[in-house]
Amino acid sequence: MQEVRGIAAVEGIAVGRPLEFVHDSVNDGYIHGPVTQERERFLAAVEATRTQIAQMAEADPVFEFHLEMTCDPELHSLVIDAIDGGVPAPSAVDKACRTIVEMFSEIDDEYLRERRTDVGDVCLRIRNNLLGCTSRHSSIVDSEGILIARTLLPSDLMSVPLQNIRAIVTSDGSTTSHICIIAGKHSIPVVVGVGEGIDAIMRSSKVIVDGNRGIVLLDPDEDDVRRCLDSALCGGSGRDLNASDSHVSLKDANGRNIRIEANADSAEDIERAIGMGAEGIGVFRSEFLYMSQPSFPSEQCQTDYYEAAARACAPYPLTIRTLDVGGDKNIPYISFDKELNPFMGLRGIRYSLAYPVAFRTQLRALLRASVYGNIRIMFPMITTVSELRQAKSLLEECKSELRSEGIPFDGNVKVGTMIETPASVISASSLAQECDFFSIGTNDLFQYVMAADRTNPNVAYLLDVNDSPVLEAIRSTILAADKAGIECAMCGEMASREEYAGLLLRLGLRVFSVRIPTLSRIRLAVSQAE
Amino acid sequence: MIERNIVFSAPHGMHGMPGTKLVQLVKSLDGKVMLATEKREVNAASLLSVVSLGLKTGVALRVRAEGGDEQGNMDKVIDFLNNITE
Repeated sequence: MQEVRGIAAVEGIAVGRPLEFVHDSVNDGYIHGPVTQERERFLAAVEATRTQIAQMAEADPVFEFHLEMTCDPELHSLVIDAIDGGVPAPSAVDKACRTIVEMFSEIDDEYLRERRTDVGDVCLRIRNNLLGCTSRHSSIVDSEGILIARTLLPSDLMSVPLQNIRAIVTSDGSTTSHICIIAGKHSIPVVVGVGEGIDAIMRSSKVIVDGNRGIVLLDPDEDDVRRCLDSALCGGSGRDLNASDSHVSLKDANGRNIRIEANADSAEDIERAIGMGAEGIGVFRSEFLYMSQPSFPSEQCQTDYYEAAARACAPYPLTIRTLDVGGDKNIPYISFDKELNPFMGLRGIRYSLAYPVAFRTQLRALLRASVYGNIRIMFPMITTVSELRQAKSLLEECKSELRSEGIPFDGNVKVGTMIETPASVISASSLAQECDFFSIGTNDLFQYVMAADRTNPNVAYLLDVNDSPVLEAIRSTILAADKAGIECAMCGEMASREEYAGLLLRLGLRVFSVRIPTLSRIRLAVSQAE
Repeated sequence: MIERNIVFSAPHGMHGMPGTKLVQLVKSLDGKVMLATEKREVNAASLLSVVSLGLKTGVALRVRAEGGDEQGNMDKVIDFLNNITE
């Protein structure tokens, strides 16, 4: 069964017939009138557009934004200026649209920048009204199926009956577009950025769209479909497997214990995960606390936050990852020098070591909260033994401070290293001498080992797991940990994929930290693996 | 003409929905309101201009009110900006 890879945009799995969304491009031949007539035509087209969008806004408030845009003074003055300069109204709208889209393209925030698609959508509608085209339409909509389009604008979605759309696949597009927001509200899975793969999808008679993984499977047989839908049901509810089974410990082929943990971002996540049978939290991403605050959270604020998490997790281990900013993760009050290549810049532990005051605050809070549960501290983006030593020595300094202040903490709090760079894989044996556990972050490890940006669809093929050199990196990391007698977990996306459970067990992995919705699926896959 | 400097604090930046509401508020006022970042100043009655500023949480923002009830207009706009939650 062939598959086409894209970018996962809205979660969920659906099966159906591909239905191509064709954009209507009828042009009845526009006759350029005098300036006053062109102005009137433009204003009439704006009115017609407002009436159409007002109807859509009743169905989804996202279109209030579009409605307001139609009467924007900036747009109007750009169009009228062009018309006054002798440009026909439809071209004047195109020109104004390009100017505005260019202005948006300079925004350095992906979500805000993506609003340019909305600008294009409104302008196209005005233009079509000028040209007397009926709005972009498609004849596909009478039957149920998977909506396939090269580009899809938010208003396109409103022209089709959403109840007939089982999933959406687009050739270009962004996970932050309004398409995804609208689809998400209706629980319609979406895969974007399949590129030229769109042609193969269109030629298939049936496809499975996997919005969790960003994959489209072509012409599946009955067994494939059944397997996919089973796993979708499993993952969606988290209420499968008998509750009594969910805490029974698993063993590998050699009788060694296997632990299934979960990834979490809040105390509520932890409660849910433990309730679903997680035997700990393999990565608790502390940046979510930092993101929710208007400025650096104080030591007390952080202590309270980690205490709540530790209590929710106890008696199971709670692995808290220290602040991992940089790369694609920005926090408003943390300003960075402009980096040409942020994924290779000051991120993770590099940032923490560069700003030790903030780092100490976090370490002190982690230590103070450690008396309320089983907290383990993990450092992200370690590349050298020296970085790990520096981080540990700051931790030791914080311990002596707390001791002299008479504040209690767990003196044996475990310290771990994220293995997510090729350098840390190469140094794994030395790193293992200096810490209590490893956790392999596969998302970054794939990206860095393969030198392939994981958000770039053109190089997505390099991130394929089969026969990947990354498997060797995983194997040697686990081996280094085993030799040193420390634990090695995996907290990246690969651990959350049931089809790799058997492979990871064969590579020697015994601690899986997975996305919460996949807990029971992975548990099942691990227990059934040979 | 009066001016105020604030730190923009909306959790998800100035995207479509808060932008739309701001513009609707400004249009209902008798007087002109301008927003400025380090880079440029725009008319707060233009949604495209406001959103194209690319306002993210934590940026410094200067608000200028000109004409009409300047103090009243300023208070309304500042109150709106400081209470965006979406």
